[in-house]
Amino acid sequence: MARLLSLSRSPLHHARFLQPRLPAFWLYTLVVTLTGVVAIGEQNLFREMSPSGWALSWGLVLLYAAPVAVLISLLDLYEREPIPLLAAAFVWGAVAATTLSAIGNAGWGIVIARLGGPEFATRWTAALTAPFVEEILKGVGVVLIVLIARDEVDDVMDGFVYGALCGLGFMIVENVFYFIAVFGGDVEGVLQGFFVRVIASGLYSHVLYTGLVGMAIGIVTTRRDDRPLRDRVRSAGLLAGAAVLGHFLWNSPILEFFPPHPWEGGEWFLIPVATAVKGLPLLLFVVLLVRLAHERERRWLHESLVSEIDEGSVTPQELAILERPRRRFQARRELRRRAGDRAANLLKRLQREQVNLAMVRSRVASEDDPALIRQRAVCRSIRDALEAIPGGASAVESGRPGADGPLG
Amino acid sequence: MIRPSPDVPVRPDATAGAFRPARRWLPTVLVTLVMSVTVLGGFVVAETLPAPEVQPVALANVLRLRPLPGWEVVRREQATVPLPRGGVITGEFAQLTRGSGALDLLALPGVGGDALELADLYATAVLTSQLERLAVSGLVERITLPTGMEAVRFGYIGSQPQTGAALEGSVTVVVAPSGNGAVFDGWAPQGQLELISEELVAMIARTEVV
Repeated sequence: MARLLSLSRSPLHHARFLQPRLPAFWLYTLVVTLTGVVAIGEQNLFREMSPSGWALSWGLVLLYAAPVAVLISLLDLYEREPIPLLAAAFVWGAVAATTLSAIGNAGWGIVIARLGGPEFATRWTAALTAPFVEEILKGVGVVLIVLIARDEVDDVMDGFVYGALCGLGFMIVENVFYFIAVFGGDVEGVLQGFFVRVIASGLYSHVLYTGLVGMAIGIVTTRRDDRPLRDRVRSAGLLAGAAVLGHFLWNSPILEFFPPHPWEGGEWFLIPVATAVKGLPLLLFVVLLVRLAHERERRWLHESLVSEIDEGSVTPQELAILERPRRRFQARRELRRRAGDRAANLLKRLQREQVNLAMVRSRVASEDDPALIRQRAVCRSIRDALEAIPGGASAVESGRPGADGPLG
Repeated sequence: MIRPSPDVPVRPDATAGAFRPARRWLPTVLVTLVMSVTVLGGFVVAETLPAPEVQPVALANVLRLRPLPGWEVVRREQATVPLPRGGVITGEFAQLTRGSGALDLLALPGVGGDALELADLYATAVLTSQLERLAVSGLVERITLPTGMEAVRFGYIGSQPQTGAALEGSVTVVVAPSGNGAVFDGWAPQGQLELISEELVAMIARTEVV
C-alpha cells in the first residue's frame, strides 16, 4: 500500500485563536471580558424579571441562529474556516459589539439631540447613530480576527463569513433585548417579538450588514486580487457604505409602512410587507455579491491549479470537479458506494489538499518554493494511497489525463 | 533592517520579507483608537456643542430643580395620589426627559410623615397602578443629600401596560421639615438607566426642597 507523505497538517491553516504573542489577541480578550461582565449583568436582569420569557427568548433565537450559522459557514465553498475563529467572531458580535454599541449610540445620540433638537432626535437618532456606530464596532471584530489569524481571511468570502457570524451574534443578543425589554418579556410578548424581529425581519438585518462589512475587509486583505491597494480600498469603501446605507434605511422613518402597535387582524400581514420594502433590496444585493464572490473564487481556483496539471498534482477531471462543490460531493458519494468509506475520505482529503495547493501557489513567490513542492507531493501521495484501495484505483485512473470520464 | 525574533519561527509559506514584528502593535493601536472614538467620541463632541438653555423647574412651591443640559420638561400637570386609608393628596407633577430616559417629579405639599412612609405610598399607590409586573427592591437605602436633607432611595423594574416595554427606575424620596414631600423617579428602558444615572443623581443633588 502506498505510504502517505506527511499528512498531519498542510502548511496552511495553522492559525489558532489563542495567540498570546499577538497584541490583537489580548485586545480582543480584554474587551470581550470587560463587556462580558456588563452583558451577563443585563441577562441576569432579564432572567430575574421574566424567567420563562428569558428562557423562551434564548430558545427561539438559538433555534433560528444554529441553522443560519451553519448556512453561513457553508457559503465558503472552497475553504472551511477554523471553528474557534468563527466562534470568536460570533462572540465579539454578541458580547463586545452589543455592549459597546449601547454606549456609543447614547453618546452620539446626545450630539444629534444638541444639533437637531429633541423632535428631530426622536425621529432620526436611530438612523444617524446605529448604522455608523454598530457597523464600525462589529467590523472591528472582523479586523481583530484578521490581525489574530491573518492567513485565514484571504478573500472576500472569508470576510463575508466572519462578518456575517459577527452580525448573527449581535442580532441574537439584540433580539433577546427586544423580546424582553420592548415586547414585554411574557410568552405572548416574546412570540410577538419573534414574529416581528425574526420571521418578518430576520433575513434583512445585522447578518447582511456585517457580512458586507466583512466582504469589504476581505477585499482589502485578499491575496487573490492583483488590483492596487488604492482600488481595493475604494471597492471596500463602497461595500461598507452599502452596509451603512442599508442599516440607515432600516432605522430611518423613510419608507415606513410598519403598522402602529398594537397590531390586529390584517395588520399582522402588513408587517412582513413593511420589512420587505426596506430589507429586500439589500438582501438581493448581498445574494448577488455572494454569487459573484463564488464565481471569483472558482476562477481563482481554476487559474491557480490549471498550471499544476503538468506537475501531476491535479488532473483536468479532478479540477473540473473541484471547481463545483456539488460535483465534489457527488464524486465522493459515488466513490463511497464503489470503494467504501476510506476511499471516499481519502478523496475528500485529496480535494481539500488540492484547494490548499491553490492557496500555497497564491502565497509563494517562485515555482520551486519548498512549501509548494511539499504540497504537490502531498497531493500526489494521497492519490497514490487512493489508487492502492480496491475500487479506488479505477476512480483515480478515470481521473488521470487521457482517461474517458471524470472522476465519479 | 528588521530581523525576525529568534523565538518566532518564520512560516515556511510566508512571503519573503513579510515578517514585521514591530508592525504587530500598530494595527492594534489603530483598532483601539477607532473603538475609543466610536464609543466615547459622542460624549466628547457633545461637550463641545452649546447646550440649550434650560429654565429651572419649580413645583407647588415645594421643590426647585435645575435640569442639566439636554433635559427638558415634556409634561406638567396637577396630580392626585390615592391614600390607602381612602382620600387623596394633591400635588404637582412634572416629567423631564433626555431621549431614552426620564425623571418624574412629584411635589406634595404638606404630606407629612417621613420619607420612608412617602416612599411606600409612592410604590403602592403610583408605581403599582402605572406598571405591570412591578418588582420593587427590598433594600431601601437611606441617604443624605448634599443639601443636608435625609432621603430614602429604592429601585424597581416593571413594564408599561400599553407597549409592554420593560423599564427600570430609581426613586428618591424626601420629606422636608416643613412636611412638604418630593419624589424623584428616574427611569429608562431596561438596561439604559445606567447611562443616565449620573445625571439623575446630579440633578437630584442640587434640587431645593422647602
